Amino acid sequence: MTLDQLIQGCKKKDAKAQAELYKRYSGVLFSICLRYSPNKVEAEDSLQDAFITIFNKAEQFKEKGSFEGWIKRITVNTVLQKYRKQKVFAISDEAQIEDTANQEVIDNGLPLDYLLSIIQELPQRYRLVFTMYVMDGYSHKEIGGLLGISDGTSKSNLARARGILKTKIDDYNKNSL
Amino acid sequence: MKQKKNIDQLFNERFANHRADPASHVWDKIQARLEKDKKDRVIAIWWRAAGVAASLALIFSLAGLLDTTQSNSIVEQQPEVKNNSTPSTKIDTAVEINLRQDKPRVAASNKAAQNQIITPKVEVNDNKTSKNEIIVLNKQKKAVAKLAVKKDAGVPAKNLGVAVVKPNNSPVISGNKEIKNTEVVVPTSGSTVIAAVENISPEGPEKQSIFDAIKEQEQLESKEAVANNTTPQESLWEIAPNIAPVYYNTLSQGSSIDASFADNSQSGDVNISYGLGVRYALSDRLKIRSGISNVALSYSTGGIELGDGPVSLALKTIDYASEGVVVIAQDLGTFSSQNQDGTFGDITPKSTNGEAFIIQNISYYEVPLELSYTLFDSAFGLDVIGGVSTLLLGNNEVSVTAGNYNEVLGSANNLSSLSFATNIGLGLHYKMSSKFRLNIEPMFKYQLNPYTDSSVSFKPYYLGVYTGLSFKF
Repeated sequence: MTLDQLIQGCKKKDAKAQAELYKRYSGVLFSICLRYSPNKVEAEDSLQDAFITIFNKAEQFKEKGSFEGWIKRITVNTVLQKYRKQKVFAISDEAQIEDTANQEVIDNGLPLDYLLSIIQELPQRYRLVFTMYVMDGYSHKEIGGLLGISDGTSKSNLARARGILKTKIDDYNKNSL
Repeated sequence: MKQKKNIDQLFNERFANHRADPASHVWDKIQARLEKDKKDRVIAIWWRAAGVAASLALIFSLAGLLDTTQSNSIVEQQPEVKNNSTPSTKIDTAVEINLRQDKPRVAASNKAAQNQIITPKVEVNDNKTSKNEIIVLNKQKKAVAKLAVKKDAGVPAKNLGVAVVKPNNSPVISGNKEIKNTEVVVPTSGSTVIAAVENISPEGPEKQSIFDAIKEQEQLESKEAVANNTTPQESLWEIAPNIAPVYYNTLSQGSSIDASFADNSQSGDVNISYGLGVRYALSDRLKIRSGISNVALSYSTGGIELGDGPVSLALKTIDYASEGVVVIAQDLGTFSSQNQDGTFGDITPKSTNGEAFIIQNISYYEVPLELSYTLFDSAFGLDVIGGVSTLLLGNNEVSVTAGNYNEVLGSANNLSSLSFATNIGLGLHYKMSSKFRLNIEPMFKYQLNPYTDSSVSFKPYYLGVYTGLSFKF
C-alpha cells in the first residue's frame, strides 16, 4: 500500500488502511506520547486518543503538507489537551530566568530509557515546555500560545527543566563511575 | 565515548529517530472504540429509519381506518339513495284480477273500477318490504291483486305482467317466485280469470315490467346482503403491548468478561422486557408478528476481588470510563499471589464488605419477526410461535458491587452492536371480547452472535413470559 492509498483508505474509514496506518506510525507517535507523559500507561492512553482523532479527522487532511507532520501535530495536540487542563504546574520562581542554554553534560553513553525516565519525572509543565522546545522545535511564542502561558514563563520553565535534567544526569554519571 | 554535550543537543539527537512499540492491547482498544463509533452511527441511522417506518405505519393504518369507515357509510346510504331515485316504485299500474268461482268473467279495467274492486295504493319505501307489497284483496269471491310494477316506457304493453290467482289458493302473493310461477295466463274454462291491464300512464320516465322490478329488487337485496356480510368481518390487524420478566443465562460454561472467570460462580438475573407488538392474520390460523421492545438483561459473576490500579492491568474486555487509576477486578486470590513476587505491586487491594461481584448489564432493542400458528381457538386458545429477532445493543455497562460498595467500571468492548436471536415459544390466549385478547406467551430466545470475539465461549439465552393485551383494529 502506497502512502497515498493509505491516506485515501483512512479517509474512507477502511479498516485495513487504519490497521496499516497504525502499524507504520504507532512507533513514532508512541515515542512522542512517552516524552509528553508522566508514565507509560498514560502515554498509551494518549496514543489511543491520538489515533482515534487521526482516524476521525483523516478526511480533513489536505494533501499539501506532510502526512507524518500532520499526524505528529495531532498527537502533540492530543497530549497537550490532556495536560493543559490539569492545573498542577509548579509555579515557584518563574520570574527568575536563568541562562541555561549552554549547559553541558557528559554523555557517557547514557541509556535512552534513563533519559526518557528523567523527562517523565519532570513536573508537568517543565516536561511539556522542554519537549516542545528542544525535541519538537516549537518556539516560546508557539508554546505560550498552546499552553496558555507567556513567553517568559515558557523560557523560565525551560531553564528550570534543563537545570533539573542536568542535576540528574550529573548524579547518574557520578554513580556509574 | 566520554564527551561533553549541550543538554538540548543530547536529547534532540537521542530522540530524533526514537521509536517505541506500544503494547498490543493499545490497538485492541482503538479497534474497540472504532467499532463503538460505528455502532453509535448504526444506532443513529436505525433510529432514524425506525422513526420513518413508524410514521409510515401510522399513516397507513390511519388511511386503512378511514377507508373502512368510508365504505361502511356508502353501504348504509345506498338504500336511501335508491329509494329517492326510484319514485317509479309508486304503483302506476294495477293488475286487476277478478275471480269468480262459478262464472269466468273478464273485467276490463274501466269496468273493474265500477265492480267494487278496491285498488289500494302501495308506496314502496323500503327495499326489504317492497317485495311483499304485493297485495291481493279478496272480496266477495273476487280477488284483486294490485302489483307494484314499474313501467318500461319503451315497451309498455308487451312487458306487462299478468298474474293469475286462484281463489282457493293463498290470496297473497308474497314472493317474486310466486309471481313468476303464475305468470302464465290461463284463459281456459271454469274459474280462470284474465287479468286486465289499464292505465298505462305517462308518468315516470322509466317504466319497467314487473320482472325487471323484481330483478332489481333481487339485486338490491343481494347487495344489501353482501354489505351486511362484510361489515362484521374480523379485522386482520392487531396491536399487542406486552411486558415480560426475562431471565438471562448461558448454555455453556465460560465467561464473557474474562476467561479467568470461567469457573467462577455465575448467575443470571431476572429483568424486564417491554414493548409493542403488531400482528397480521395471514389466514385463520397463521399470523405474522413483529414490533419493537426493549429488553434488559443482567448477569453476575462472583468469586472475584477488587483493587485499585492502572488501566493497563485492568480487564481487557472493558473500556473504562475513567483513565489512569481504575478499579480492577480479578479472580479471587490473584492479588495476594501476585503481590508476593512483586509483579502486581501497582494494584492496591480494596477491602470490601462481603463477597464482590461483577455485574454486566446489557439492554437491547429487539425487533422480532415471528410466525404463530393457532392450534386451537375458542375462548381459550393455544398458538405455537417461532421466528428470529434482530437485537441492537443499547445500554452496555459493567459494574462491580460488594456489600454497600458499587462502582461502574465502563462498558464491555466485546459485545456485537447488531446481533440476532432465534425465538420459539407458546402463546396462550383468552378472548375477553371480539376485539380484546389476553395473551401469555412463554418464549425462549437464543442469541446467535452476541460477541464480536468468537472465542468467547459464552452462549447466552433468555427466557421471558410475555404478558399483555392485544387489540384488533
